[in-house]
Amino acid sequence: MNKKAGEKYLSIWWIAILTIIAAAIVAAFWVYNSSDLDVRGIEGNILSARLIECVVENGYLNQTFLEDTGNKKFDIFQECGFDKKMIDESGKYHLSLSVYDFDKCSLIDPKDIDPSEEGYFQQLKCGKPLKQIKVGANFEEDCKVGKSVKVKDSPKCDDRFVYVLSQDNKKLLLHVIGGSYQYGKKEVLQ
Amino acid sequence: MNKRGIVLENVIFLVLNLVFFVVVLFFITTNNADHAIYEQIYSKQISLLIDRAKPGTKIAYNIRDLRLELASHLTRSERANQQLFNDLLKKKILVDNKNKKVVIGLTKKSKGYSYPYFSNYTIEKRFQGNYLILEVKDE
Repeated sequence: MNKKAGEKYLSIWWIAILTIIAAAIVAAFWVYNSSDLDVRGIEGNILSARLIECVVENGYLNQTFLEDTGNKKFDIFQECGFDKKMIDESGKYHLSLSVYDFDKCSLIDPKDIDPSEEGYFQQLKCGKPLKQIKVGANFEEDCKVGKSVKVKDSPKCDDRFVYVLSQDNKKLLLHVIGGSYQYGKKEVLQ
Repeated sequence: MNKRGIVLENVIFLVLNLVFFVVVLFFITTNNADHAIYEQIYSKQISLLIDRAKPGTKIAYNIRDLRLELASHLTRSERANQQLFNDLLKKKILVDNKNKKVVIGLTKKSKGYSYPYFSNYTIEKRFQGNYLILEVKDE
């Protein structure tokens, strides 16, 4: 059988195989180099843990935080060592703390629980919080969506409940949410 | 086709394939971006450590792999000069107290990776052998 000039050395099939190999290698490199290590969940966890450590001492809620009036103003940034510019102005973090009277909390009937709100305060009904603070960007709703639907680019939140006592031994329930929407970036080193 | 022609054809086939695999190997070695992964991992880990630490905490963080990766981007003479290497390490691993971020850049040309932290404490940094020592101090 006569072969064309080029096909004498490399057949069209062999060129196709080499092209596939080259494309696979380039694709593998691209995926490896553009991979992003997601630590937003851990950041949210650290935020909420630090907030709890800051307002709760030996199981008692910081009274200044609860009263927060007149001269005894509770500055969350100063007291908890958070950078105001980063948390409040960057739009990348969210912090929320709500204090409820434990005796006013009751369990919701499981059949009335909204499945889309799993893990988000869905099992308890505590009424109006005694005190509530929210700082930073408000992406609580985005976190809820991110938990029920798999969204790649949604903020990650960590929410937890802590049972504490007030200074006069009143039972309280804290609901703390720490969230992060932070991504790193390439930057020229100064 | 005579015997010589068949041998020549096979030799050219082998040479062309060899050229292809040499090009692929060259691509792999020149585009090896391990430094980018190291930069990202270490800047994020250090930022998280800072975020979690309380004032008075002293962190000894093993950066042996980072040192090796940095060394791989240097010439033999640069690697041999310990003083130069240590100075370079200080410049390449940056804890920016003012802008609250950790920036790590291991190569001479490409950009480094930056990750911010939200802790308001002052971080003091020094190197001790394979360890990066971070001291968290209240402002």
